[in-house]
Amino acid sequence: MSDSTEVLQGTLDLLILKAVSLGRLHGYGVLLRIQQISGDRLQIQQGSLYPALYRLESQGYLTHEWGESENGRKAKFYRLTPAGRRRFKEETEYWQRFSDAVGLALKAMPEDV
Amino acid sequence: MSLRSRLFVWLRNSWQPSDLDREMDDEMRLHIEMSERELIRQGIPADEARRQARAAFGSIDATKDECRDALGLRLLTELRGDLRYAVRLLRRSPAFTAVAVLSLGLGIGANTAIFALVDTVLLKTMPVKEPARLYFVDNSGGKSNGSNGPPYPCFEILRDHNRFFSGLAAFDGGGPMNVIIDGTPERVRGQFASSAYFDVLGVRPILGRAFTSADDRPSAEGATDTPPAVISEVFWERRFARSPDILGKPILLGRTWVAIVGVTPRAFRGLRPGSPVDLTLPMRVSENRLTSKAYWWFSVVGRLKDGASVEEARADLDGMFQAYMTDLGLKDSSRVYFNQIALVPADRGLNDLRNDFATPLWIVMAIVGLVLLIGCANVANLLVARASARQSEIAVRLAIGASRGRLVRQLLTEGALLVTLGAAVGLVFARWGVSTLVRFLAGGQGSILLEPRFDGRLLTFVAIVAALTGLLFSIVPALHATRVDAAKPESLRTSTPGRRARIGQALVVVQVTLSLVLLSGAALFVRTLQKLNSVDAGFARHGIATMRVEAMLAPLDSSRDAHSEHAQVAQMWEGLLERLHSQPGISSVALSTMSPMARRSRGVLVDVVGSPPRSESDRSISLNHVTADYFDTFGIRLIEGRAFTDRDRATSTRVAILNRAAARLYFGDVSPIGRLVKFTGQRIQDPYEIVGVAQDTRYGSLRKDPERMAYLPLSQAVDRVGSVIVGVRAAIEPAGVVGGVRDAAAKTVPGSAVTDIITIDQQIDDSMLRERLVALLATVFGALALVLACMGVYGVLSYAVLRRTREIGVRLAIGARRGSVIWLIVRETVLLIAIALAIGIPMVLLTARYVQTQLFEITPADPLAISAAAVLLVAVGAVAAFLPARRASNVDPMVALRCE
Repeated sequence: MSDSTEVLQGTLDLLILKAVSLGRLHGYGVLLRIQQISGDRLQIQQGSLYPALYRLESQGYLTHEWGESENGRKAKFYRLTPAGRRRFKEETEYWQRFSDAVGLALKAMPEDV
Repeated sequence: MSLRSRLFVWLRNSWQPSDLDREMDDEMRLHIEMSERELIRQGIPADEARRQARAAFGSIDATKDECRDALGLRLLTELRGDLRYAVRLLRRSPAFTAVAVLSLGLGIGANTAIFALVDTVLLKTMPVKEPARLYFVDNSGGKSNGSNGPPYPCFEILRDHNRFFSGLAAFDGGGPMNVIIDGTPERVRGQFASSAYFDVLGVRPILGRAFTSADDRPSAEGATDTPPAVISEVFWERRFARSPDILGKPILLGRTWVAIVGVTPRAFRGLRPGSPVDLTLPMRVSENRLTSKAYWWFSVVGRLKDGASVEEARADLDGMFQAYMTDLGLKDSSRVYFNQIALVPADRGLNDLRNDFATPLWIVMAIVGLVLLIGCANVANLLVARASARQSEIAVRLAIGASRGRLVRQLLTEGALLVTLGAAVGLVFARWGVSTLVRFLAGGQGSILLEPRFDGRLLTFVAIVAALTGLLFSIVPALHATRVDAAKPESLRTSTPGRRARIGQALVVVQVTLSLVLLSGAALFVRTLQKLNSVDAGFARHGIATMRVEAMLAPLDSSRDAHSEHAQVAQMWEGLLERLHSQPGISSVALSTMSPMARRSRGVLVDVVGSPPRSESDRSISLNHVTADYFDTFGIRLIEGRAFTDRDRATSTRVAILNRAAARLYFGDVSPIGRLVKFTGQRIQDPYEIVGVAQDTRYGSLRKDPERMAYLPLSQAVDRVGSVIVGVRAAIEPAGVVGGVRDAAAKTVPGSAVTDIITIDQQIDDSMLRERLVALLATVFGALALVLACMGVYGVLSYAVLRRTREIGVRLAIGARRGSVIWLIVRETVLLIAIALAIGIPMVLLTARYVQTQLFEITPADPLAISAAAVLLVAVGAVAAFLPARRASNVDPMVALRCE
C-alpha cells in the first residue's frame, strides 16, 4: 500500500474550501495545494475536482475571476465567498467533532464497554 | 449566496451555453498542460508526459458533462439537443409535419374558439368589484333567474329598509333607443338604472361622474335640472373619438334632454351578457312607470354586506315584499309569478343568454373535443409509423447505453414541438373562428354582441389543452418505440410490425367511432333545421318585409274618452296606410301591432259573453290589431267566416277574428261566428262580435305550438296604438320600399321613426339562430372529423400494403387475381369500419339523449340520421382504402420478391 490516501467521499469539498481559503487558486493550483498541505499524502481524482468546483460555485461558496497563470496563460481563479468562508468554518468544526468521535470510538477497548 | 445570485449564475450559464463550454475547455486544457509540464520537469519524456497527464485527467467531455450536471444544466442541455434533433426530423419529413401540425392546429383552434365563446357567455364573472357578493332580487321565487324585480314603489321600500345589503339598485332590460345627438338621429343600446347602480357594482367612471342619489328624484318632486347620462368607453370612442369635451353634451331622448356626465371603463358593458349597454340613464327619465304599484318591468341587483348570509337577507326582503303585496290587495290567483323573494347570484350577470346557449355551447364544445381526439389519434398514428421506421436507430441508441427514459424524453420533446406548432397554428384558426362566430351571432336582429378577448384565461386554456394533447398523442408511440429489444437483430424482430399495425388499427377504430358520433350528431341537427324550415308556420315565409313605425303621442289623458282617443290615433295610422297603398312596387300592405316572428306580444284576458267563467290561464290570449289586408299580406288563411274589410270602422259594429286554437278552446266544435267576446280590464269594455276564424300561426318561435290569438281591426283597437308594424309584399326588393315608408310616415305620423327593418325570412333565420349555429358547427366539424379519419384509414392501409408487399407478391406469383388482392386490403378497412360501427352506433344512441332538447320533431335515435352517417363513413372509408388497395394490386411479383 502506498503512503497516499484516496480522499473520502464528501471530504473533497472541505479540502477544496481549505485550499482556496489560503488564497485564490486555479483548478490545477487547487490540486497542487491539497497535495502540498497534506504532505502529498492525499490523492485526488483529477476528474472529480472540476465537478466539485462547479458544484461549490453553483452553491455560492466559491466565485471566480479570470486572471493570468504563472506561465502567462488565461486562467480561471477561484476564491471563497463570505458564504463559503462560513461554510468552511462549519465544515471544519463538524469534521473535528466527527473525527474526534470516530477516533475515540476506535480507541475503545473491551474493558471500556 | 442568495437564491437570486445563484439563479443569476444558472441563468447566465444556461443562456450562453457556448461561452460556458469554451470556458470549461480553456480551464481543463490549461490543467492538463500544467500537469504535463510538471511531469516533464520530473524528467519524463514529452510524449509520455502528455499521455500520462491526459490519462490522469480522464475524459474532458465526460468531466464537462459532470460539471454541467453540477450546475444543474444538464437537463437543459439535453433538452436543447432533443429540440434541435426534433426540429431536424420534422424538417426532413415536411409532409408528415404539415399533416400533424394541421390536424393539431385545427383541433386546438376549434377548441380555443368555442371555449372563447363558452367562457364569455357561460363562465366569466362580471368585471365589477367582488362579483360574488352581488345578488339579483327576484320576486318570482327565482323562476325568472333574476330578471324580474318588484314594482318600483316596492323596490324603494326594500332599498331604504333592508338590513343586509350595502346597496340595492334597479335597472331595466335595456335595448335599442332612438336618440338625437348633434341633430343626427341615432340608435344606441341604452338602459335605465337607479342612482345606486354604479356604486353597488363598484364601477368607477374613467371620466366625469357616475350617478348621485339626487339623480333618483323624479321631476315631479321639483327636479328641474337636465337628467344625467353615463356612456360606455366603447361608445365614447366610437361616437366621440374620446374627446374629453363631451361632459355636458346634450342628448335628446324622445322629448327629454339628458346630458352626458361620465364615461364607464371599457370592461363594463352592463349586466346582460351579449347585450352591451352604451348609454345609462336614471330611472326618473322613464318616470311614468316609477309610480305604478303593480308594474313589473325591471331587475334589482344588490351587494350583500360583509358577513351577511344569503338566507337572512332573503328573509328580510321577503317580509317587506309580502307586506307590500298584501297592501296591494292582489288576488292570490294573480300571484303565481310574484309569490316570494329569491336571491339569485349575479356574479355572471343576468342569464338569459346563458339559458339559451348553455346547452348548444356545451354540445359544440363536446364536438370540438372529439375532433381534437380524432386529430390526436391521427398524429399518434403517424408517430407510431415513424417510430417503427426509426426502430433500428432506437435499437442502436439503446444498445450503446441510452436509457429508455432518455429516449422517451426525446420522443416527448418531438411531441411537444409538434403540439407547440399546432397550438400556434390553432391560435390563428381560433382568432379567425372567434371573429366569424361573433359576426354570426351579431348578425341577427336579436343581435347578440359578444366581445371575447384573447386574454390570459384563454391562453392558459390553450396551454392546458396543448399539453394534454401532446401527452396524449406522444405517450403511446414513445412507449411503443422504446419497447424495442436492443439485443435482437433487426431481422428477427418480426413481432413489432404486427404490434405497430395493431396500434394503428385500434387508433383508426377510435377515429371512425368518434367520427360516426359526430356525423350522426351533425345529421340530427341538420334534420332538425330541415324540419323547422318545413314546419307549417301558418303564414307565408317569403317575400314579406316588415318594419316598425313609431309615433310620438301626447301623454295619455285618462280624462278623455278612450273610444274617441283610440279612434283618432287609428285614423292617423289609416292615413299612413293610404299613402303606402299608392307607393310604387308595393303589391300588398298591412299594419298590425304584432307580426309573425317579431317576438313581441300583447297578452290580455278574454271572456266569452254568455259562457261560464274560466280559469285565468284559459282566459289569457294574445291580441293583435290589424288592418284589412293583414291576412292577405301575410298569407294567413281564414278557415271560417270573413276577414276584416274597410267597412269595419270605429263607429261600426265591433268585430273580432279568433285563431283556430282560441276558437277550439272556447267553442269546441261549434262555430263561434256571431258570438260576442269582451276584453276584461282594458280601457274599452265593448263586446266584439266574432266574424271569422283564422288558421293558427306560430308567432314567437317555430318550435312552439301556436298560441291563442284574437285579431281586432286597428280602427276598433282596445289599446291606443303608439307603434305599428308595416308588413309589405313588394314586387321590388324589400330594401327598396323603406324609403317610401319613411316618406309616407314623415308626412302622416308625428315624430315618426322607422326601425326594425327586416324580412320575415330573416326573422325566421334569427329565430333559429341556435339551431343554425349548432347545425353549422356540427356539420363543419363532422366533415373535418371525416377528413381526419380518412387520413387515418389511408395511413394504416398504406402501411399494411407496404408491410405485405412480399406476401402480395407471392400471392400474385402463384396466380392470385388482382381483384382478390384488392379485396384483401379492402377487407381490412371493412373490418375496421364494421368494428367501429358496432361500437359507434350504441354510443350514438347513448349520447344523443343529451342533445334531445335541441332537436325538433325527430328522436335522438333518428334512424335516417344514423344510417346516413354510417353510409357516408363506409363510402368515404372505401375511397380512402381504394388507393392503397390499387397500389397493392399493381405490385410486380418479381420486384416484391426481391425487395427483401
